Amino acid sequence: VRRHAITPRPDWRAKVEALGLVFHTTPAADGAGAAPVPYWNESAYYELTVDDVDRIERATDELHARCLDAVQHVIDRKLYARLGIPPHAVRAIERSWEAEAPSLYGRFDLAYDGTAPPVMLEYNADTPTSLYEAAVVQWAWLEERFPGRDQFNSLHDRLIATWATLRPAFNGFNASGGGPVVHFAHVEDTEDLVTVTYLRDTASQAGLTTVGLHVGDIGFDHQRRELVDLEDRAIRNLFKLYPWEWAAAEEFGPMLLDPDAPLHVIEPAWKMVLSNKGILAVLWELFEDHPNLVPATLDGPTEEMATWGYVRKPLLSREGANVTIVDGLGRGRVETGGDYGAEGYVYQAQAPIPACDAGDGTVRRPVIGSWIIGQEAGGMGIRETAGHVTDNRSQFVPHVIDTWYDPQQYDVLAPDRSADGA
Amino acid sequence: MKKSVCITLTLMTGLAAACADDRPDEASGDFGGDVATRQCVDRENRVVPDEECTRPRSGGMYPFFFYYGGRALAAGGATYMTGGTRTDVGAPPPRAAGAASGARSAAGRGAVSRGGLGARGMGRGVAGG
Repeated sequence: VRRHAITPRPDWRAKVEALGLVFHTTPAADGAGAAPVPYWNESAYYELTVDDVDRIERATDELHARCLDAVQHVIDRKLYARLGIPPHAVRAIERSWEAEAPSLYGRFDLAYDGTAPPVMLEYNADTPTSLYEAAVVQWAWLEERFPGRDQFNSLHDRLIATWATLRPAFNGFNASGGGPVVHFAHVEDTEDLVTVTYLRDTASQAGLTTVGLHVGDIGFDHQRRELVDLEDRAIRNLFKLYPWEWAAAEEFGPMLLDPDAPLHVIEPAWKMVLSNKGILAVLWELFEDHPNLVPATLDGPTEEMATWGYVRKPLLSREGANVTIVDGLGRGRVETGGDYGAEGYVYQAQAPIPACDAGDGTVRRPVIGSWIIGQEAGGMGIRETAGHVTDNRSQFVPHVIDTWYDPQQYDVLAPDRSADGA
Repeated sequence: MKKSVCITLTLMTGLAAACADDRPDEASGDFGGDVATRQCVDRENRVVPDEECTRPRSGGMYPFFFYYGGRALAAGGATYMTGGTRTDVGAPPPRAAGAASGARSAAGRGAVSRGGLGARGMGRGVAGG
């Protein structure tokens, strides 16, 4: 895995905006005096070998399979309390698992240095984002900057194909015509709007009728005893870019969790088990010394972790919030802010995230977001950070596969280290 | 590894165009035109942070309103809504213009409550991760 500096396209903002990626720049951090930084960062790219991609793909498929094993384990032994899953969610989890309610997608965050096997940092199983930039924006970048080269990316095709396989399972499916209606709900945020609109796009290409709405606009009809949209139409199939643990704690949570309701939810309730970082400890208990896992425990750092360093993560935190990194023998400590942690923590041995030379005396630490679409690995995106935690100020950097690449063919490789892509 | 077909987008194209035009319905959540934008406004229809409409208040009295649809106008450093419909906080939203009517009774619509989801997403920004 190599990181290359590259001159951004002069009009890159206009080009990614034309694709709908309007959140290409992250605003300055409040009170920190920091300048806005590009979220979409094409002042660099990562180059992987075919062998790298094979290893990432295999690791992703393997981790997906082991995660399904872990769900079965949690359900068999009713380990819900250990994971902080509320009792009122258990029936929905078990019923959706028994019914094999299908999943659309998930994103494994992997550490991979090109040498050791990729290891799982965590699994965004319920509400993963950065999908559109991985599926479409980096592909458009590749086609313009490196035409003819390849990328680990069949996300778009796989999404459409997966929606098509899910279609008969949706409520209202009629084989003679007229796709089922799927409501897509999200919070009032541009990034989430883009993700959901893209998913609607792929769903509609698979023959589904889609309706978008804000999560807060979902209604409950007390007479009909069902969730409805702004037009009072019954919601029978719901894609929600809204965490299960949030929904479960809210007034309409029981309606979403009612396994007897004629409501098909994507992602299904059993994903609550996997979107919980406690699953890292469950996986290690089940598959200790697995090459794609690192030691993790719910019971505080082990002696080995204390010696070699560990990361403490809240069970339900998002975007790197409330993460504490403790170096070996307490030599250093990094903490991020946030309001998570009351639900408990998982302790994970520090994983070997590579530090790539950024060419300006600093390093960047890439984390690979490897996607499961349906039941198979389908592509990847890379987010990098100069710090130690991949958070909401990390940058998305495109990638290429170094198949038959001849650098003499491309004059765009001249590094411009004064440019930060901004 | 490589895609076998060209990427074709329809809804995303609409989203991109809406963002390029800076249309006020950018965040409506629907580009098929059947869902209205909702803004929290004060008595003068001046846009205020959404939290003003969602934060619990003693006695349930809100000096703010939800504004659906319409256009945003910038004036004097503030943004004002116009051309849409204003409702009390907690009241059901108006039926979107052009939507099918008569399919359900008014009584049925009155039996609908909203806002039972989404509270934890307020103020956090993205819900994805």
